[in-house]
Amino acid sequence: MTQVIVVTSGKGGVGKTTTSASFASGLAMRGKKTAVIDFDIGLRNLDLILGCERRVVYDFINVIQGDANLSQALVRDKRNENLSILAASQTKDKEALKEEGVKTVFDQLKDMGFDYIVCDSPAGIETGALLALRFADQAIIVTNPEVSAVRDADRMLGIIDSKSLRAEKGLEPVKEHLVITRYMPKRANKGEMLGHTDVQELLNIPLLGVIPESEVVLECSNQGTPVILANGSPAARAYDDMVARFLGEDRPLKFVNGDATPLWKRLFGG
Amino acid sequence: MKPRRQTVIKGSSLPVLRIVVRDGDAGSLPTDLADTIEDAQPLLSEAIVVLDLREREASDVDPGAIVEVVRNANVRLAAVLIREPKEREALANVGLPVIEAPLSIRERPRRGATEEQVTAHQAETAPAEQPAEQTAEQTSPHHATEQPIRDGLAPLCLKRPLRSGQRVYAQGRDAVVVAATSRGSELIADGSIYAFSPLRGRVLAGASGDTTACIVATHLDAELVAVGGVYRTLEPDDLKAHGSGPVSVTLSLDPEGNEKLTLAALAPSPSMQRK
Repeated sequence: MTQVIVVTSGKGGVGKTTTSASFASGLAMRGKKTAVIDFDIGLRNLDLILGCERRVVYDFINVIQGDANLSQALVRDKRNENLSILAASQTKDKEALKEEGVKTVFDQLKDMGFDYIVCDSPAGIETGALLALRFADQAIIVTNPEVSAVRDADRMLGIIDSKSLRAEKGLEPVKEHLVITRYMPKRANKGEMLGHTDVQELLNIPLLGVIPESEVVLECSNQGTPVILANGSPAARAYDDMVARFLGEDRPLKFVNGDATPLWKRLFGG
Repeated sequence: MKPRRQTVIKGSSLPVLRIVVRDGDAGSLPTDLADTIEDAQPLLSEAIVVLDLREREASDVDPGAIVEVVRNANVRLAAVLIREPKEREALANVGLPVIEAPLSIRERPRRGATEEQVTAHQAETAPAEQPAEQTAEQTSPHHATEQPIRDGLAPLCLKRPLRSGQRVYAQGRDAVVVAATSRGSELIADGSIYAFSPLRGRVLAGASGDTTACIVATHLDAELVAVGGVYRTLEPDDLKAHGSGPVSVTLSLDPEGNEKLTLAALAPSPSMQRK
């Protein structure tokens, strides 16, 4: 059964696209056939983050409007053949995104045997964001340890509870997961930032991962490499843990305590 | 498959204006009524109006005559509200639907307020008689749950977190909270609210004017609390003053007779005090 997963946040700039790219790559690395779709029509970014912007010929809107078929528009990732990307349109009006069209594309992806469809939601609570979560089976709520991001995430959870197809049809509710990005353990310990337990208490959903603030993220974005592939960096390892937990592995939280890992542990692996 | 019907019957709760006629001097009623309508003309000319005769006790004025006065004032009168079935007879010939409806708690004249208001005839919006401090939109009927007001309704049990931007209205009943409510959410009950998980956001008990309602919470962290229409915003300092234990919020009268919201930490039981 194909699972549809929306990566959403409400607030912009918290790391939805970065997380979508790493999460989708992580699933693909574990052998899951994964499609990642950019729902941010008019402001496409996912193709850049995944480094395939030069290979995008047709986009999501072309498929919805029937200008191209889905297999023409899906871009196969160069690093992992299990991963396909469906880019957003940069030129078309976002009004072109329609529920019927999205449903047709999802049905085709399901027929093509994809295990996971990852929907990278735009910020805000308008059409694009609503359609990204409309068909979701699971939701990954991305937030920063900061009150406004947490409030928007909370609002988004409310919207998932009321506007998703599962909610409307009275099916089992969308399974929700929390990912906290840009986390700085030292500042959280000093009380300058919300701690991950505070965020989790405010939002009341299971924590899937805490991604530490890292310079690697910016470098990766510029290079078009998903962060999860930045070998050895804490952010990459945190994303890897997140994917593992999503697939049912039990892994302890890392990078949430301020104290530096002892040198011997870093050298010999901890 | 059966073709989809084009028509469907649905319940609704529409905002209409009520012209409420209260007891008073029968002789001056027609002029008083005409004046009230004239004063509210800009409001009334666009609106659908019902004539509310339920607050009248004396029956020395013929209801038919009251209807005539309202009609002559160029008002779009849709129906007449009465309290007792026997009043129906007197209205048999006015050619308007006559609706029998008991006065809800919300609509009952407030104690102590009746004396100065006996001669007034007011045009009010549907969720009227709001205590001054409360805005109408918070308790407007759009947020009503499916059930109509009934006595002895089981409390509404909130089992899923109430998120920012969401609103729940326990109409005509209490609410029991077993999942956290978030900042930016609104929990409204006509009765009392009992919370066993963190209460954040806005929490309004006794929303229809029940001043005896209360809020009891094991973890009160609300932005605003209200009982019977009297509200109070809460700053972190207000909450700290009562410790982190369970808190009750009730409405009481201060020495000057003003209504005042009181926050109090629930006293631990004697056995706990000994420890």
